[in-house]
Amino acid sequence: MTQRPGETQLPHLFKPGRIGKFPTRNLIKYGACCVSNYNGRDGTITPRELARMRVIANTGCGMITNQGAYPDPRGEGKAYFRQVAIFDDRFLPEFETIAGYIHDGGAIAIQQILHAGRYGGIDLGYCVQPSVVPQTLPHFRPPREMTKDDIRQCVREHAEAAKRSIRAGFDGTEVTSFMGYLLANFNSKFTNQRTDEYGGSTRNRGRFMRELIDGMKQATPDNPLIIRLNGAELMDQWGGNDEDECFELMQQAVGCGVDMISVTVGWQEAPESSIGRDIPPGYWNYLAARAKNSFPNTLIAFGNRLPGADMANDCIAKGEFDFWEVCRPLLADPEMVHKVAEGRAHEIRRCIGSLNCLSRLFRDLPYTCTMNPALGHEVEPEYAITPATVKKKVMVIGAGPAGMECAITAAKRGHAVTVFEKGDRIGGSLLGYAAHDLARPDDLLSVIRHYEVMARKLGVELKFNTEANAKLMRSMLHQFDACVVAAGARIDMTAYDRLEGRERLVDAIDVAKGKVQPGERVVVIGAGKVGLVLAESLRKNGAEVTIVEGEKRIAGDVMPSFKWRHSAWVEELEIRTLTLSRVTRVTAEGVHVANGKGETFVAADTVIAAGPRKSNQEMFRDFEWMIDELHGCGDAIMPRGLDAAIQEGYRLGVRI
Amino acid sequence: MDVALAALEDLAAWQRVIDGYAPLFEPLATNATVGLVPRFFVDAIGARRSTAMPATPTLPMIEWRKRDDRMRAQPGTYRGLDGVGVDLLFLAGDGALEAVLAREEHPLGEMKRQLRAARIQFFVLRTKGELRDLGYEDFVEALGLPFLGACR
Repeated sequence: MTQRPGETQLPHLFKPGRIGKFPTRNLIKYGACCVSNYNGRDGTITPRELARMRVIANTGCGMITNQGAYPDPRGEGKAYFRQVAIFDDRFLPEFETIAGYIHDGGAIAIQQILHAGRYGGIDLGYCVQPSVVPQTLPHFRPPREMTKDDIRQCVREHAEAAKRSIRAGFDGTEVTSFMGYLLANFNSKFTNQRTDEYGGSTRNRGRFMRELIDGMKQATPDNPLIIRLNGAELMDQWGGNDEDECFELMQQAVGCGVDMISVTVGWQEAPESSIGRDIPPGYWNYLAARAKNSFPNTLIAFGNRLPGADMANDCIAKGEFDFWEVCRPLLADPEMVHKVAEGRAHEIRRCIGSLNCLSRLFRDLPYTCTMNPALGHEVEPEYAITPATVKKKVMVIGAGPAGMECAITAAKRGHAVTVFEKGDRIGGSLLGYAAHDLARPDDLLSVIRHYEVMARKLGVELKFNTEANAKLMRSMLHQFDACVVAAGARIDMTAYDRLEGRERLVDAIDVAKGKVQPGERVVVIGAGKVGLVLAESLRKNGAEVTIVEGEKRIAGDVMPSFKWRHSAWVEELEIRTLTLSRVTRVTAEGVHVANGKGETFVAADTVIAAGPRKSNQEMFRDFEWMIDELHGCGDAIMPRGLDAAIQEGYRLGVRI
Repeated sequence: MDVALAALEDLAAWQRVIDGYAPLFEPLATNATVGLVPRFFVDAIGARRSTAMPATPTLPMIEWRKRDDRMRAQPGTYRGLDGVGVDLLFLAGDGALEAVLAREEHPLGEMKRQLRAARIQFFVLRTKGELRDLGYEDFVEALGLPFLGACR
């Protein structure tokens, strides 16, 4: 077969591989990626799930892992409300369908068996663990200690589930300890306090794992077994395993003859980040390299916070691991592997590590992706990009994420699209946000770069430095069939009309864009995401910063996975925060702040208004009688954030 | 005596801490209880052991319990995680509680810092819904507990 240009450029990643008797076309493994929560409450696989897996099956990976299924009829292993089950033959038909999709797509099919241990029993009043060690997060069920009979039963159920997976047509199975599930609970000295032969020494703690491997291998002797094990738990502060102990446990798994170790990082309860945007790509590679170095004859898969195919290719070339295990980047862009292979890597929609996917799961919601609005909606034709029946001339006002998402989606459907932007480049408020982001601005900037690339490719016309207003619209009457107002939001300065000294306030957006240079003592009014990002950035650059917030808590409009990061940054940077407080007067010397404790004065040379935000909706009224179709999306409808902007822009783009 | 144990015995000091945050505890239901215990103990053969285990010898615990519309510091006993009978449990490492008490202004801020630095370990013995029903939302939020965890 002729090699595609990207395959030549990344020869290590795209070379054929093998696991057991099964050849793979490349060294890319689609990771099980937690669970989707798209399925029935009774563990049945739904058409929604099948449609998603059909897309995943065609991602071009050499090996595809289907999401973790719980193996016990009691539901003790069930971690998520809509997790799939594999404890009975009645579930087989849909697993057969998925295995078929994966084979049709040219990959080998792996079924993950997931018993969630201390995170399980979601429908029950308890969870099971090696010992009674409560959780450190308020989401889970009270623990019960497993008896030896329970352990034997659990091993049998895993073996049965493995056998059932192979009968369904999967080529191999996987068992996971990732994120603190049952296997990890036995392995870790934090959660395993047993005094019998399953607890105590590393050897004893690993006994459950060895019995599990043995049971599953005996049940499916001709099929590979993969085990996901922590290279680092990140729980050592709580008394968990250190890295050396993690590798001792890996050694035990190797001794039991597992076919592949997938090296992972962190527990859900770990007090430090492992896969978020604040962790630089490649940060954990050393764990994979250590595993490969320690176990050269066992296949090693790795992918934690390793989002780039070029990086993975280099790691494989250096012998740091054998298979690139990738999941979230393929949720963000299921075409990623094909784009890389075809030399179109610049067209990839990058996973930006917002953790929208995971934080939704812990609110018992199906996972979605900030960057891929179609994820989870593959079964709905309404979300598919299909040729427009009537090709229209579409004007989009605003080149922020909402406007650009709508523009490129509409252009893909055959519409002729022109974007009017008052600034001089694509990005909207995301540009200002990225300029001050403490986590990893490049992730946010990648969103903008993607829109630039796609606009060029699809021939979207961009008119910069063009303010859309009634006058402009009158000059273009009947030139467009549809208008999309995606003009974003602004700080509502009218909210301060009655504030004494309001003329001294500066607009947060102007500061974010660099139009205003704040002084050395800054007060930020509003601890929403705009105010926090600015406050953190200014503080980091040396300013003395105080935040004044009317609500009881900060970060009210920040998505859940980043609330605690902002909270931590505010503390680390020692930013003074006055909540349940309001500014009563602004003077040349500073601001007067009132709260339940009375009034206080905060010296400041710059006072930034960072809230409330108000949608730029005026154009709806102005344009209503000037154009056939008038639509809106993103912050122009209601100020929210990147996720809503992209989702709405897409949804409008596919139906306009 | 272990530093953590000494700090646990000063009921009056803990009552002052609690009283300084009266609004935080106002929403709590009667008998809502927070427990503080030392994180380590010395066993019969003189070895230092973690108290984060199902059963331990009897150890002193300080309880913050809501009674008569007020959160009160009172002595309790701890025999391990199994059946501990509190809603939230804090296991304090050496010097952690003393550092909290030494902080005249905003001692819970110090507690939050100690939690983040893992010098205080904690366990949640109620589900999220139960904590909410018991009125813990503000307290849990004030200590940053819901935000800990890599995936959140």
